Amino acid sequence: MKFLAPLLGVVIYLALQAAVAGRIAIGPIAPDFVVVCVVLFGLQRGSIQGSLFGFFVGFLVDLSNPGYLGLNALTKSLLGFAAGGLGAAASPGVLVLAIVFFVGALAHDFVYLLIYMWPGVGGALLTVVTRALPSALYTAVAGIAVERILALLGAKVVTSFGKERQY
Amino acid sequence: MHLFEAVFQRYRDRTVLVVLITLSIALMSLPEPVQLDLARGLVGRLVLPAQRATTFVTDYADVRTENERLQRMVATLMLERERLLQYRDERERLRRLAEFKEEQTHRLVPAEVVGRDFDRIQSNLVINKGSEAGLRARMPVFSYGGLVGSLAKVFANSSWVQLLTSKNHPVSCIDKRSRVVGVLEWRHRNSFELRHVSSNEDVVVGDTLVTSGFGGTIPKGFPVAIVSRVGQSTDGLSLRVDARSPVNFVSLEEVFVMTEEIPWDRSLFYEEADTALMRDVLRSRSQR
Repeated sequence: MKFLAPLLGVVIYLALQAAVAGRIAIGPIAPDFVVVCVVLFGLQRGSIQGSLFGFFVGFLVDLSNPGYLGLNALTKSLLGFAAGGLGAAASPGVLVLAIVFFVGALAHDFVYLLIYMWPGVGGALLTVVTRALPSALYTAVAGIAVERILALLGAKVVTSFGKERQY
Repeated sequence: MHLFEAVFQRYRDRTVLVVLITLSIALMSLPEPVQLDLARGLVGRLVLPAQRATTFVTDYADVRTENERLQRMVATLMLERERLLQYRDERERLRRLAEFKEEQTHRLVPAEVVGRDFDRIQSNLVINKGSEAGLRARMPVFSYGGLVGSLAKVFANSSWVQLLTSKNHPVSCIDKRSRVVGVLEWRHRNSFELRHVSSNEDVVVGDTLVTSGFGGTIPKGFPVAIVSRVGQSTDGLSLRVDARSPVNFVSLEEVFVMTEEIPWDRSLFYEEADTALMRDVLRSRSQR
């Protein structure tokens, strides 16, 4: 059961990314549910589990783009680690959570694009401004929506610093 | 050993992160064929069946709309086909008169996109046709807008398409108007750059870039992109030529794989069965 719930979560978030993200996209701007998944998991379980989970989810995403196998695993490990560090420091409210989603998605895309488009730093920065920035905003909104739905479903989540949060 | 354990206990989270980063970099450093084989084995068992199921469910709602759109398209194509057949006969007569060399045309295999990258920068697609439909690696793939990419890996009933929006998929192109040759490389979104163009060459905004046919993999003369900006490069020796592809790589639903060349005079554009089907559709539409 300890591993089943995160696995089920991964399947649901990947399905959301594959089936929903494209349909609710505004032009090329789409939310990244996988980033939401990794951030939420990191916040709840801490740096070690967050980074391991990020690596696992990133590796799954990489399988769909094997020309760059390992890139998503790297960026999402870092994201899970950073979210885990935040989770240990504070219990985030909705506004803080939105900021965490936004900064997390933006930082993730920045590192991703920089490595993916290297040595084309100019193109990477342009894509960060034109695509990653609005996508990060959209991801923050989608992340809050997911968090609210979890709250409505009454999902009980234990934060990494030992307190229980009733979603 | 105790010291190592103490350090590990104290910095356990960072140690895990360093291990994961090392592992990720090791994965990225693998040769591309090994990465593809690794992904192929895992995707075949895990992701592809789930993606097929998801695609089936989400696409079902669009079937009716798509059906109407296709019927309209069929009606238009039917008329165009008749016109093309007349042109073909006329052209053939003229070519014989002028004793031109027999030209080739191509057979296209339509395929449906059944899988995509989860990444927002898509550089690969999965299509539902493979070696059983006569596909082979490196065959070019097109959409209605022009060249899309080429087959990277072919399985029995599915194939990976490496899109032009991939860093390692440059295409040799030629300016349709001035015949200037260059290598088209992806920059970002659907923007490309035509490289290796000397500063005294004749390229202007609006020119169409078509495949050059060099290398023999992709046939000559198929549209790839339209020149959107021309300027001098920083070195002053070459032109900086930006181009945009008319293809929306993010929302591709069906593509065509070019499988073989067939002589022009034996090309029917459509099979006989397709022609009969089109007539039925047109008849049923006219009766409504």
